[in-house]
Amino acid sequence: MTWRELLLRAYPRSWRDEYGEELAGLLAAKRLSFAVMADVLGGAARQHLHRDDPWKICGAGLLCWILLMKPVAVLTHSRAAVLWFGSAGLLLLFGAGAWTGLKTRSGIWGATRASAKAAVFGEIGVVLLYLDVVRQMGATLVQGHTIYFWCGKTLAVNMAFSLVFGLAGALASRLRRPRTT
Amino acid sequence: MTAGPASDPELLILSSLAGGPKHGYAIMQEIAVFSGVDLGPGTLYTAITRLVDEGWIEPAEASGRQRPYRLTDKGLDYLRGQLEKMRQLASFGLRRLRTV
Repeated sequence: MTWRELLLRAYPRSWRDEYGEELAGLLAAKRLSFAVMADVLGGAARQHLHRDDPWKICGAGLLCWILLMKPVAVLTHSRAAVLWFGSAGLLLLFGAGAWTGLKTRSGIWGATRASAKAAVFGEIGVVLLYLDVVRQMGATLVQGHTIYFWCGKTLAVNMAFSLVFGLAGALASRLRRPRTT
Repeated sequence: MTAGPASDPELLILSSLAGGPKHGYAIMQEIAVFSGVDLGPGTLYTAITRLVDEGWIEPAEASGRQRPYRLTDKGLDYLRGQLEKMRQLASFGLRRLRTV
């Protein structure tokens, strides 16, 4: 796969179906400098923001955010920093709920559900982090329970928090939306 | 690229299409000639997508890989309105500059 094909793949599929061939023709006629690549990637990001569901964008953001937690923990050696970092990720779930509520007419339940979907996306990152912990600690007992128990418990707590933040975001979006009679 | 209303990609594309239907590459080249603005392919197609969504331009009959675009009546009205505003702003600014 060439660089030009990779750049095109950065765009949403629905956009590519409509404009992909034209952009491919244009890219074929241009020298692929760093500025051109940055410009094309910027365009792809704008199309994702415009066309994708908010939960996909927030979920992908949350996944990246969670995966950054390990380097933060390693670099800072601070539990507080990791907690702050993790808590800030919850804002993305609030954002998913609020954004869905504002962008669509899906109502509170629909926006909360979108936020929960973003949370499930983000939990992939949590599971990856836990797999790393399990790999290092094995079946070590922590306060009378295996590491598997703690991983399961934190996942459940994370999901509960996600729902609360998603619901809060959905409710916040109702404040901004004009009432329909 | 110089920032400002005269470098707004959407306005530049509409101005280019006011001369007749063109495909992406031709629009990009003409804009570089008449305004000195070098639009990147990503910026160009972001603007084209928005202009199509707004109904200001529409695709014409495709010729090969490149699809030309043309101004719609709505786009023509919008362009006229924007250029008129720019003309008023420019004449006001120039009048003020004469008093400096």
